[in-house]
Amino acid sequence: MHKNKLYLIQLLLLVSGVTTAQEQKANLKEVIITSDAKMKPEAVGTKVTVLSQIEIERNRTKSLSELLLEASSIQIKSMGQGAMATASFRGTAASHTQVLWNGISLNSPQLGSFDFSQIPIYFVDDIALHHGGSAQSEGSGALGGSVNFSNSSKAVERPSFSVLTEVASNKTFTEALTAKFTKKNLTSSTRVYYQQSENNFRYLNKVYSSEPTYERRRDADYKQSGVMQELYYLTAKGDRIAAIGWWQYDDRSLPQFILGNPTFTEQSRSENIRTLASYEGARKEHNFKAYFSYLNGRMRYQRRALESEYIDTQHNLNNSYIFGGDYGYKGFKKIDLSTSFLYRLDKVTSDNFENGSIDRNTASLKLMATYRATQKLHVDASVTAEQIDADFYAIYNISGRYRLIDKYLTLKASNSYNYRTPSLNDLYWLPGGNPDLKPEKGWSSDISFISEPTIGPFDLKMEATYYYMDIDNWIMWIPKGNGYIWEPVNFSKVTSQGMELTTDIRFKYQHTSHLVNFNYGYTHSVDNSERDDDTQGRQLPYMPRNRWNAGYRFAFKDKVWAHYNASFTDVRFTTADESYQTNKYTTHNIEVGYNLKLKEHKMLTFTFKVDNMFNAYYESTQYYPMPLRMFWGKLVFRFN
Amino acid sequence: MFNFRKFSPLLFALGIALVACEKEIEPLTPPTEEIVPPTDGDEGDDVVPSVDKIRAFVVNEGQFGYGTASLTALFDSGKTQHDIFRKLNNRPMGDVAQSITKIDDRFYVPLNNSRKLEVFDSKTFQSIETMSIKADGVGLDVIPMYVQHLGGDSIAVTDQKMSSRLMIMDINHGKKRDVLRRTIALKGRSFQMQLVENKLFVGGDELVVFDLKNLTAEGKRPIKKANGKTIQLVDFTKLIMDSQDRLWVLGLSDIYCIDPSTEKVIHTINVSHLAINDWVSCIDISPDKNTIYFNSSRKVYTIDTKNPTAPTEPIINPTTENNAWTVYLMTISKENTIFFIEVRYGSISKGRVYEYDPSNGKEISMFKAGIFPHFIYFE
Repeated sequence: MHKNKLYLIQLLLLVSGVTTAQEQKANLKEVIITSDAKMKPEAVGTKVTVLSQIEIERNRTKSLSELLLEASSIQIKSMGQGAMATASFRGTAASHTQVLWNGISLNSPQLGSFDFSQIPIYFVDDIALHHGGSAQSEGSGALGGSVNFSNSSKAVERPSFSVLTEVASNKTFTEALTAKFTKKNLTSSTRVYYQQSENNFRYLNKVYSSEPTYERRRDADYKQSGVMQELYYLTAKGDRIAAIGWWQYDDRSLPQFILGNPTFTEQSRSENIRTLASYEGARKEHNFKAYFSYLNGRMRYQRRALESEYIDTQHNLNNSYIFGGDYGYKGFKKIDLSTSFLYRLDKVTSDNFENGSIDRNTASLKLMATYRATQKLHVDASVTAEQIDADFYAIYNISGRYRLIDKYLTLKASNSYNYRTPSLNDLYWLPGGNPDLKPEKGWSSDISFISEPTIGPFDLKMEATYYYMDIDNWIMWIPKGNGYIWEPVNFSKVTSQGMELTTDIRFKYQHTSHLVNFNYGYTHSVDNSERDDDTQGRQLPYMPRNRWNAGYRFAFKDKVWAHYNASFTDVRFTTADESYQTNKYTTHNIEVGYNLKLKEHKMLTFTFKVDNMFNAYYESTQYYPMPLRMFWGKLVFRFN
Repeated sequence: MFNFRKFSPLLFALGIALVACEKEIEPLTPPTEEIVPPTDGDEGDDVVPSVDKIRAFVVNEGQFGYGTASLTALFDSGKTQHDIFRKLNNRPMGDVAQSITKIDDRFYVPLNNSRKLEVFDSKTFQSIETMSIKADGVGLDVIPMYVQHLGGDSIAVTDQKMSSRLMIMDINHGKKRDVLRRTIALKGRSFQMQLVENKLFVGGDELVVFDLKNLTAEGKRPIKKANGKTIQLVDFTKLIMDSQDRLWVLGLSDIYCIDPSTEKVIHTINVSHLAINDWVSCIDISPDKNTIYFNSSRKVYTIDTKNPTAPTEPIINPTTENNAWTVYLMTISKENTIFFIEVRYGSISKGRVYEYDPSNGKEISMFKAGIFPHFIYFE
């Protein structure tokens, strides 16, 4: 356990970049929490990106999609601020990305994919991106990767309280507060969050008509609110009992594309209750964890005609019951063993299922062994058996890490086999659902070179990864017959390969600290199906070949800081034969902040931010304009 | 008390950020694709538009919700140029194009999911105006399909909604924003139209006729079969005139010949034995207006308008290498050749257009059109 902590401390320090002394202290604490929260060992040779606390703290009032866009090279497709957003790794589809909250999969069993706009960063303490085979740590389905976010269980020396208020130029208002205390062995954390936005920014519509017209974005308003309560109790033996409850409500209009002439409005209201209870502990060389989670999600979609009284309303209800356990044994000198089991029951009710309600039962068992051959060479292997209703599947992952030249060069490599079962909508949606669909399955390999030298005052971390994956039975919805009805079919065989490059450079000079970071992703993800429709060998729709973001952070003592970030997304084809494309775009954001210490244990933090400072018109989804230049002002009062 | 020194770094940074901002909104970058200069011998996108030599336009619906509606120009040489509207106007034409109609020196293209008509010059293809279909400033919940010039500054536009409305619009509206004059409720969907002297015939789930002087709901008269029932047409099919000024339409199991003056059915030719499909069968007429063509998938049959009897054998029945492609439209060119539009994977991939010689059933040419081609207009 201690070694694990040290390793994670090392890892986080390396990726988090320059921090003030205060921030570094905070990071150390956070690392320990991550170690506690993650009972399951991760494969040693796979790629895991841990987002820095600085990035998380800076984006407290943003959504998970907005944070990932700015701080990682994974692909985000969004329909606008507050609107539906999906994420995909390494040239795969949005449904190939698993989203895990404290180890519990939040992907909708009905849709398969996850809406990243529904997670305010305010409810998140730690984020790790598992690329490729490393995403198997929590089960099947993540052909591309997984986004793992979790909550911190750290105790506090004295009660702390913070309140946040923020306003943005597109009439976005955010209010949030956190209260945390530790009394004896009990730690409690309460978070309340509310954000609303009219989001009616002005833009120039040059595509609808012969006369370019300034318009205000309509039907893009939203309200988002949530409450999270965490309780952690440490027993006399050091075991931890955790109970977390999270309620969230989203009420949003669905913006229309600007090539249309809206005749209706669409609105979705969703309410999610997520709960988790766990017990974990360690006895000598044994460690164990048992957990139960209940997830409840309700969604109401409404389409209302502008011209008449016509209203179409649809309801969906998801209930998920999850039981699981992990056990690890570290009694051998060179080998660690672990096993995990999980049972999950998903009950989905939809107006678009023939029988109204469908259940899905999932049971899985995972075995994993890690072998520390030498101090330099570690390898591991895992196999997971999974039973989903009547179907049985097995997946595996093998990986290794070899330290070639101490901290100057480490080599990591992995190979895995994974699959994803069709979503319940794919199978049973009326009209179009196809119960004969086969699961998507794929092979994935990657190799990474990591260098972490210190050169004079500069601490560097560079990681370069090459990956290759084949995915068969790729599911796509295509028009059937006369085109009125679409149905999902196992349509494509996709090959994706590319590289990921991450660089962090940090240094200090007198009272200032500096961080430069750069993330780059090159993706060549093509359809290799043998069809005579001009799609063979073409880049998949909405998959940019190049994406990068770069940032520079400057801090003076722990009082003033400035942060600049630029993010580039290359041309994306919108059709499978590459005949139509979106424009490439770069956005530039800048933020300045100031910490004003009041009395002891009290502090005010002022932040001013300009997003898209050069006012670039851009579209993450074609013909859905994104906000132009926006100003944000934030005030946080902290007491502890 | 406000401590200016404490806040000065923040204020300085704020100032920098504000100075860095621009005043004007940056215009949308036009599509990067360019019109390629003329070259000899190449195909596809490499032909410069030459109005005099254009033989036909293919109207491509594009993928619903993606704004990929397009026009493909076919030249006499057999060369093609794709997406000419977007290339010449630096913007997409719209979402889900349905047809194209020439009125004087302008083309009118209804785009159903954009609920508008794009109007552009028939020689330069430069956009003239966009007629957004609104009533009282609100988008009208219609699916515009086909345009018929009614004379003067009036056009009629049909609607594919299940409770459709015939839209009477103003094409000489000056600066008035709402171009819709009125709508007339119809039963079921409405498709193509035919103007016969002072009458407007409207095809669809119910074939109806209006007097131009009384284009109102009260003035609507259904055309009825001998048994008194109304006539439902195969989706999207034409209303065609023969050399004797009689109207021919394709019903779900019969072909009807109608006298426009009496509005009575003169001939009913039963073709139910030929497996007429409600969305891949079409009807057209030869350039001399004496031979009716209709199809059941790739099988094309003819009827002599002067001696109308039900055919038993197709005049052509071309085989293809891959039956995954489906016939979506059959039409007759001005050179009396048969054009097929074939599609695969519906609205997500490009379609193909085949030209056949009706005398021997041999393929004359084939070219690729845009995504989900729906209509062919011959110059």
